Amino acid sequence: MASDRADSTTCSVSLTLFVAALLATLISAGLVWTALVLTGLGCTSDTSHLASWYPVCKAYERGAYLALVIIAFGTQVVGAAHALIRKRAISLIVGLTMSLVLLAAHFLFVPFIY
Amino acid sequence: MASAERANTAQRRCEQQQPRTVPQPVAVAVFTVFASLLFHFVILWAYALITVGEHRTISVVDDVENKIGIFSILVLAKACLGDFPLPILGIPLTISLSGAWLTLRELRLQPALLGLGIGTLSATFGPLVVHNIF
Repeated sequence: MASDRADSTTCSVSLTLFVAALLATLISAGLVWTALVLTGLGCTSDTSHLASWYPVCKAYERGAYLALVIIAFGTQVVGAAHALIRKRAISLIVGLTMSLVLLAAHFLFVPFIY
Repeated sequence: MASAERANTAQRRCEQQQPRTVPQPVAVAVFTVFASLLFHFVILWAYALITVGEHRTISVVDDVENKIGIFSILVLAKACLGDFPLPILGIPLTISLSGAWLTLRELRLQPALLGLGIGTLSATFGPLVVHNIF
C-alpha cells in the first residue's frame, strides 16, 4: 500500500504502461482505419448500388463517419492519456473497450440515422 | 568484508530488477504527438481512398500561381489525396486547382471491357492555362 502510494507520487511512468498506451492507440487507429477503408471500398465497388449498401454509402458521402473517427479514436486517446497521467492501466483497458464498443455501435446505427 | 561485498552485489541486482520507467512529462508528450499523428493519418488516408459521388466537377482557373503558403499545401494534398477533407469541412474546392491540372496531365481513356468501364465522364473547364516551357 505504501509502495503503491510512493509509486503514484513519483514523476515517472513504467515503460510497460507507456508501451501499452502506444500499442492500444495504434490498434484503435488501425481498427478505425480498416473500418473506414472497407466501407469506402464497398461504396466505390460495383455493388454499391445495392439497397443494403445505399444507407451506408449515403452516410459516408455526408461525412457521417468523421464522427466515428473522432469519437472512437478520441475515447481511446483520452483513456490512454488518463492511464499515463494517473498511472492506472485500467483506464487504458476501459478506453480501448469503449472505443471498440463505439466503433461497432456507430457502424450499426449510423446508416439508420442518416 | 566478503559479506559486505555480497550485500552490495545483492543490492545491485535488486536495483537492476526494478522496472524501467519513463519520465511522465516525456511519456505524455510522446503519446500526444503519436496520437495526433495517428489521428491525421487516419483522417487523411482513410478518406483519401474514397470518392463517393457520381458527378465531380473539375475546374481550372488561371491564378494558381497566386496561391501560396497553406493553399499550396492544400493544392498538393488535393493532388495526392483527392477531394477529402475539403468538401466535408466546408472549404470550397476552388483551391484545389493545381491538383486538377495534375490530374488532367494523367487523364487516360480506355475502352470499356465487358461493360465495366466509365459510363459517363463529365468535366467542366474554366480558362485553360498553357505553360510555356521555353
